[in-house]
Amino acid sequence: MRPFQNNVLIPIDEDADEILMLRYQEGDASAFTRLYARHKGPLYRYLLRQCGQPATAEELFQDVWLKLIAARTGYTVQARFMTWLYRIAHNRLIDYYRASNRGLPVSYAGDCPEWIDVPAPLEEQPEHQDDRRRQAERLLVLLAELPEAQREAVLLKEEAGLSLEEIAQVTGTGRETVKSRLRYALARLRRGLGGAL
Amino acid sequence: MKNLRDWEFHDETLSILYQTTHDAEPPAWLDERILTAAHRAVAPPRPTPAAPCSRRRSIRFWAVPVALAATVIMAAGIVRLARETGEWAPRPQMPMESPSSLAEPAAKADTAPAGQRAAESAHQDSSAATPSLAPASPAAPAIRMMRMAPPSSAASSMQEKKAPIAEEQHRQDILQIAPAMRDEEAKLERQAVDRPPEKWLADIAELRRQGRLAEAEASLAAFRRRYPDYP
Repeated sequence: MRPFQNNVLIPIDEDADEILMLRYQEGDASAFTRLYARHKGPLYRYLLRQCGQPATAEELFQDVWLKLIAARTGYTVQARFMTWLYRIAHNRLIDYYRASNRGLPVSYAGDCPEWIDVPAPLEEQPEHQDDRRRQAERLLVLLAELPEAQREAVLLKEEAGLSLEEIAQVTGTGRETVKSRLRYALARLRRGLGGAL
Repeated sequence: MKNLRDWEFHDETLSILYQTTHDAEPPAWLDERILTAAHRAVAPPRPTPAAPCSRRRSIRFWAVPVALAATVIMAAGIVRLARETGEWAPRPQMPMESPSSLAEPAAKADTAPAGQRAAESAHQDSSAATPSLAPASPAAPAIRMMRMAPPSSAASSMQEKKAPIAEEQHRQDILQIAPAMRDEEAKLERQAVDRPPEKWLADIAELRRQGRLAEAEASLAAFRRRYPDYP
């Protein structure tokens, strides 16, 4: 790693996301292809889990990448590439929520500690699920039932592998807020999966 | 990710279980669309066909010189046409003339004595040699119209040209003969006036006898004017 702008370390590895993005900025289309192949799955699943509809997820997914392509000329390595990418995705998701009939989810307005005590519906409880596949499916169901902000924190951790600080940076919140969201989300998922884990 | 290792914020079992759900991927058509957009964004601009570009450039290059040349040619043509038709000549210093006063010279020419008309005609002929300095004659518009007549009406314009020319020739002949005729008449009148009344009456009678009644009547009228008291 070598120091770069704003005391951010830039990886020397030629295959690092930031280097690939800089190469794409200079006109190397193959660098973008590698970046895209690396991040398309996690980003798509992040959007899919957040909006719940494949068609909407595809639309948002396309918008995010097109925004990134359009913003390539102004790209500077001030943070990890992943943070930048998911910041764009988060903003697009918020726009989607605002444009939808239900508006911005309440969970983005503030933390909701009382949700930890809300039990999942009985029919959704995985009492009789014994194989791992069904447990995974159950996990997705439970994930879908989480408030959006908590679910987003989980997805940014699991899909993008972001740290607490990076999640806070992406979502525009504080580190403590991210911790709170993750804490509640994991507790609810564990309880939903019961003793199956 | 060290700070996510805390059990409160990270559950390894849940993470492993979640990774088994990583089968959802964007469709292939979406991959292709995004990659195409990304490649096109950094692709060098596609060169435009050479022929239309060079043609457009050559048109742009020649537009100004051609426009200037056309303007000069048109201006020269207008000046030449104006000189030929007399419109370019300066008008003489004279008070504004009404259409009726413009018609006066023609009327005067008809009523003026032959000698005077001959002199005017001579003046016109001499001035015609220098058309650029001559004032526009009343006939000038007609001449201009004839010059500007389209080629399709060439036959009719030829006939129109012939008629004024013949008329002008006839007028010139009359003007050339008129002084001699006028001198002859004056001489006879002087001789008639100077003879005695008896001789004059005898001549009148002789004219009547010869059947020259008109001349006899004219001579008798002159006699009465000369000798109103003659019985």
